[in-house]
Amino acid sequence: MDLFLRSLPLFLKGMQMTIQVLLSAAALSFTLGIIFGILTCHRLKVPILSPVIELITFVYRAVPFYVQLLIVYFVLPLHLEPFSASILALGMCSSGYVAQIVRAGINSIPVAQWEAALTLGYTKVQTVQSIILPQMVRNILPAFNNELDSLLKSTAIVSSIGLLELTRAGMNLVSREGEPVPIYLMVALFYLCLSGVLNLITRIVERKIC
Amino acid sequence: MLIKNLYLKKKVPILSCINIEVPREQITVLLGKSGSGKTSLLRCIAGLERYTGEIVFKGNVGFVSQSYALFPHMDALSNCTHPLRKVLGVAKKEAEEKAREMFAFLDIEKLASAYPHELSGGQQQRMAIARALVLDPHFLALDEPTSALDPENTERLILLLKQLANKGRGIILSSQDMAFAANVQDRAIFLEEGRIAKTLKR
Repeated sequence: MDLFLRSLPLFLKGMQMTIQVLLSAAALSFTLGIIFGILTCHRLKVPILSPVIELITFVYRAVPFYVQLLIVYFVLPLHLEPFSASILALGMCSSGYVAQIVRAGINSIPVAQWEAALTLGYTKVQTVQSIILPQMVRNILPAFNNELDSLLKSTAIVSSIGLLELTRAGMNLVSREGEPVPIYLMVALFYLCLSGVLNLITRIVERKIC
Repeated sequence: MLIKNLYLKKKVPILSCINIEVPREQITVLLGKSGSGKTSLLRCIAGLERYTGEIVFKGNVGFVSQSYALFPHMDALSNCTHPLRKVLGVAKKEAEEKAREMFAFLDIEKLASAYPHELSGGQQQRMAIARALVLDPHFLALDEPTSALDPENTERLILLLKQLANKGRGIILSSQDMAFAANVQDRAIFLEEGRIAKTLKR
C-alpha cells in the first residue's frame, strides 16, 4: 500500500500523458483515415491522388509502428519534441488502418443507395455526406472502437523515445523503487482501467448511434 | 423525350436499336418478359447506365427503382423532405407540407415517422414513389411500380399518374401487370430480347 501511494503521483502524471497522446493521435488518425478512406473507395477514386494515398496507407500499415516512431523522431528533419513526434507517428500509422475500415465501410453500402441519390439529383459530395457516411458509421463503429483500443496499447511504445507516459512512469518507478513485480502489475492495472473506461464510452456512443 | 439509336452492351447485348419517343402528357408502358430489357431501358433514361446513342429531353427525370432504395437512416418524412431541401433548396416547412400532401394522396400519411425497415413492401413502394414525385420531375420513370401494391393502391397510383400526365409530365413505366398496363397506358411498347417488337397506341 505504501509503495502504491508513493508511486501514485508519477503514475497519474504518466496516465495524463497517455490520455493526451491517445486523444491527439486519435484525432489525427481519424481525420486522415476518413479522408484517405473516402478517396480510395472504388466509387470515389481520383486519378493520381487515390493511388498515391493507397501507397501511403500501405506503407503506414506495412512498417512496424516502432520503426515509424524512430524514423519520425530521429530521421525526419523536423526536430520534434517526443510528444509531437509520438502523436505524429501514432496518428500516421493508425490512419492507415482507419482508412481501410472506412473504405470497406463505404464499399459495403449497396449500389442502389448511390443510384437513388444520383437520380434524386444529389451531388457526389452531398451523397457521401448525407447518404453514405451516416449509414457507414453505424457499420464501422465497432471496428473504430477496436482501432481506438489498439491505439491506446500502442502509446506504450512511445516510452522508448523518452516520453513520460504510463509505461515510462512504471519503468522510472522500477529504477527508483527496485520492485518490478508490483509496479509492472500496477501499470497493467492502469491500462486495464483506461481500456475499460474507453470501452464504456464507445459502447454508449454505439448504442446512441446504432 | 427522344431516344435515338440506343444500344446497351455489357457482357452480352442488353438493348439494341431503341428508337422511341416518350411524349409529355402521356403514359408509356414498357411490356415484355423478364430479361427483355425493360429495367435496363428505364435505367438508361435515369442516367444509371453507360449506353451508346442519344436520350434527348428538357428538364429532369425522376426514377423509382424496383428495389425502392429508401434511405434506411432517415424516417419516411425525411426520405422525402431531405432531397427537396438538399437538391432544390426548399425551406423545411414547405418541404414537409409537400411531402405530407403526397403521403396523404398515397395513403401513407400515418407512416411519416416510420423508418423504412418498419414498412411493408407495398408501403415502401409508395414511399419511394412519393420521394420521386415530390421533386416534381418533368419525366418520371417507374420500374414495376405496382409489383407490391394491392388493387386499391394500384387504383390510386393510376389516378395519380394520369393526373401527372395531364399536368404535362411524361411518364414511362414497366409492368408485368397487363390489367394495370391496359388501364394506364396511352402507348404500349413491347420489348423482346432488347429490341422493340411492337408499339401500340391507344
